[in-house]
Amino acid sequence: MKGTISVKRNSRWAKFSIDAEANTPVTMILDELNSRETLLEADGSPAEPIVWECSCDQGVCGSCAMVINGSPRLACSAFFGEVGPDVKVEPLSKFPLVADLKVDRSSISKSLSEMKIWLEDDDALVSDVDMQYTSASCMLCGCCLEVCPNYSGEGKFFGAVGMNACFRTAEQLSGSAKRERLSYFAKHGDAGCSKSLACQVVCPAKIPLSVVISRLNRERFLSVFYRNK
Amino acid sequence: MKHILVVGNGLAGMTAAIRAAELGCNVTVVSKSEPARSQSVMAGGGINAALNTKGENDSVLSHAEDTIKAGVYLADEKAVEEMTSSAPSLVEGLAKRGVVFDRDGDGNIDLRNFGGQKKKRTAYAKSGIGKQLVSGLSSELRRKEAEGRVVSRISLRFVSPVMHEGRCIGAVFQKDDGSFEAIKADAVIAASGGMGGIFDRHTGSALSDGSVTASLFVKGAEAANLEMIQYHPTTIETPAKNILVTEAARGEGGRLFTMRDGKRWYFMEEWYPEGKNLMPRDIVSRSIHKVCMDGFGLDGKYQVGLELETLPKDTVYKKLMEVSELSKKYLGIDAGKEPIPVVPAIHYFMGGLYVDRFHRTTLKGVYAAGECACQYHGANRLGGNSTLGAIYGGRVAAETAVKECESVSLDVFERAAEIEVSNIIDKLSLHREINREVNAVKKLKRLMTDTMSIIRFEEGLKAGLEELAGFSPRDVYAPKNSSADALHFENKLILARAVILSALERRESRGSHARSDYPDMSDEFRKTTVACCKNGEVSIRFDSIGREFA
Repeated sequence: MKGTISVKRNSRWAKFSIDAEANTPVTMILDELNSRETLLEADGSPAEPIVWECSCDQGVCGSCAMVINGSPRLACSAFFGEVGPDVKVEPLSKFPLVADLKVDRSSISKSLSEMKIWLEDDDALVSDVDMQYTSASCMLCGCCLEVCPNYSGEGKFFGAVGMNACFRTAEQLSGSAKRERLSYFAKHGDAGCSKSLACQVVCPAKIPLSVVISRLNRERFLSVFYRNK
Repeated sequence: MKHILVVGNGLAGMTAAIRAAELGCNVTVVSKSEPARSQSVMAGGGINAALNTKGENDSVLSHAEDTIKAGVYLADEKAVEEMTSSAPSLVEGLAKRGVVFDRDGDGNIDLRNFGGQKKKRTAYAKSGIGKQLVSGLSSELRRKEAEGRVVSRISLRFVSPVMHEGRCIGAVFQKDDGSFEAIKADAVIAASGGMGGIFDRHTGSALSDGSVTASLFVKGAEAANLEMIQYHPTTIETPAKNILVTEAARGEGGRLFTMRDGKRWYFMEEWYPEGKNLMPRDIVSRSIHKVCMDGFGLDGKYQVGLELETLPKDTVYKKLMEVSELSKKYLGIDAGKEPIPVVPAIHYFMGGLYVDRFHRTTLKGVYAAGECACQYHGANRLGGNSTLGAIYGGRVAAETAVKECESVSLDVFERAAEIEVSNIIDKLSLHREINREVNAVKKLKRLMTDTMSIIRFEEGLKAGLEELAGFSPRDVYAPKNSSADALHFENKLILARAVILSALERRESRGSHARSDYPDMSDEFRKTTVACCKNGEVSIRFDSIGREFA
C-alpha cells in the first residue's frame, strides 16, 4: 500500500513517500525511513535521519508515544492500514523538544518526586491487587498529558499520570503518610482537573482514570473525617 | 564518600543503585532513557522463589537443583545456591516495597508452574511481572534520589570506560547533542542488558543493544559462554519483531500442537510425557524446530499452534491478559477462541561479561549484573530466573563494588578522561561516510541470527566468520548526535566474532548450544567458555566453573 508520512521537524512538516503493508506499525515505517541509504523527502530534497525513541516496540514501555494524525498514541501500536495512507506524526507538545519526535519527559519524574511517590517504610499494604496492578501499569508515556485541557507543563497541576501514581502509593500506605499523598492529590491533581477524562480515552495502558480519581476523592473524604484511617 | 556509577536502569541497575545507596555511597545511574523504557518492563511470567506455600514441600535446594539441571551443569553451583537461598526473602521484600503480586486465597503471594520446575515456584503478577517490578523499584529509587543519595541521568549513551593503570575509574558517555561527558567513579557497575544489538528477530528491547558489553570486552573485560543463546519456544511473528508469549501461557495449561493426519498432535506431550509442554525452553524450542523441519509446521509454515482456547475464559483474559491482548492487537486472533501461531526466537543471553559469584568482571573496577553478565543460568535459563538473577545479582554487585572500590584523585581522572575522549574523537575521524551505521548493524544482525541458529554446525559457523571478516568497520558512520554508534559497530563486530568462535570451539551439544556435527554432550566441555580480546584479536579458552577473580 503506497502512501506518505509527514513528520513535524521543528516547525516544518517533512513529507516522505512510503510503501508498507497494512499491518506495519508506524515505528517500522520510521525505522525504514532511517534505513534508506539516502533519505529524500517526497519533493526530492535531502533529509537527515529522523530522531525518535523506541524500546520494546510492543506497547509496554511508552517510549514511542507521539501525536499521530492529531491523537497521542504509541507508534508501535498504530498500524499503517488504520492510520494511512497519509500519516502525520509530530512530537508530544507538552514537553520540551529534544529533536524531531523526541521530547524530554523528565518533568513527569519531577512531578512524581514532588508528590513523594514512594513508600515511607517497607510495609506496603495489600488491598485491591487488581487496581494496584492496573495503576502500576502506567508507562509514563505522557499521552494523558497531551490531551488534557488543564495540563500545560507549568504550574501545580500534574495531570492524570500524577494522580494515578498517587493512587497506587496511597493505596499501599496508611496513617499520616497516606494522608500526605492524598493532600498531594488534592493540590496537584483534583484541584486542577476539570474531569474531561480525555486521559482515559487515550491511555495506552487502559487505566480507568475515572475510577482512580473517584477512589482518591473517596479516600480523601474519609481521611478528613476519620483521621485514624 | 564513595561514588558508584551504574550503567543501566533496569532491574539489575536499579537494585544495584538502591543497595549501594543503602550502604552509604553516592550513586549515579546513567541510561539512555527512564526505567519505564528498560527491557525489564517486558518480562512476563514471574520471579522464582521457593516460598513453599502450596504444600508441595518446595525448598531453596530444590530451586537450586532445578536451575543447575536446566543449565545443564554449566552454572556456578555455589552462586546459584546463594541466589536461590536469598530468593524467598528477596521476593517477600519486594512485595513489602510495593511490588504488586497476585495473591492466593490466603493472601499469600501466589505461585504458578513454570518450565523445568516440578513445583509451583514462580511468583507472578498476571502476565506482566516486569512492569510491576520496575514500578516498585522505581519508587524506591526515587526515594533514594530525594534523600540525595542517587542521581539519575538519562539521555546519555555509554561509549567507553576510562582506564588508569589497568583499573576503571569512570566512563565516557555521549549526550543528545553529540558531545561527550566523562563521569568519575570509584567503581562501575554494568547493568546494560543482553546482546540483542547484534541479532535480529529477538524479543528484547531496542535499547539493549550490547554496546556496553562490546565496549568493555574490547577494552579487556573477558566474556563467558557467549554461545549460550536462549531461543524462547513461543513468540509471535510481527512485521517489526518477534514478540514473546510468556511461558505462563503454558504454565496455566496452554498446549503446543501441530496438525498430523487431520488431528491436533500434541508433540511435546507425546515426546515428554513427564514434563510435557513445560520442559526447559531449549528442549521445547528444539522440538518445535524438529516438527517444522520434518514438514509438520502448522499451515505448512515454520510455526506450531499454542492452544489456549480450551482454558477457562478467566485464565485467558485475566491471568493471561497481556497474552490475549497482544495476540488480538498484533495478529487479530482472539486467544479465547482460536490457537496462536508461535515460533521459537532469540530471547535471552545466558552468556555475557565473565563475572565471578561476587559479580566482579575481569576488568578491575568494573562489576556486572543482569543479562549483560554471565551468571546463574549455565547453558539454559529457567523462566522466572532472569528477574531473580537481575535483582539478586544487582544487589551482590553493589555490595562487592562498595567493599572493594578505590578512589583516585580528580586530577588523575581528568587526565585519563581527556585522553579517552581524545582517542574517541580521533577514532571517529577515521570513519568514512560510506555506510550508515543503522544498515551495517542490520546486516550484522541478520548474519548473526542466521549463524547462531537453533542447530549449529562447523561449516555454518565458519561461513559466518568469513562473512563477518568482510565487514569494513571504518566505512560506517552515524549521525553527529550519535556518532559514537560507529565506534560501537567496530566493537560489536569483535564481540560477534567472539560469539561465533565460542560456538565453534564448544564441540558438543549442551543446553541451548546444539551442534549437528557434535550431537552429544561431553564431560570435557563441562567448563566455562571464555573469550578474551587483546588488540582486537579474539582468543577462546575453557575455564573450570566457578572461578573467583581477585
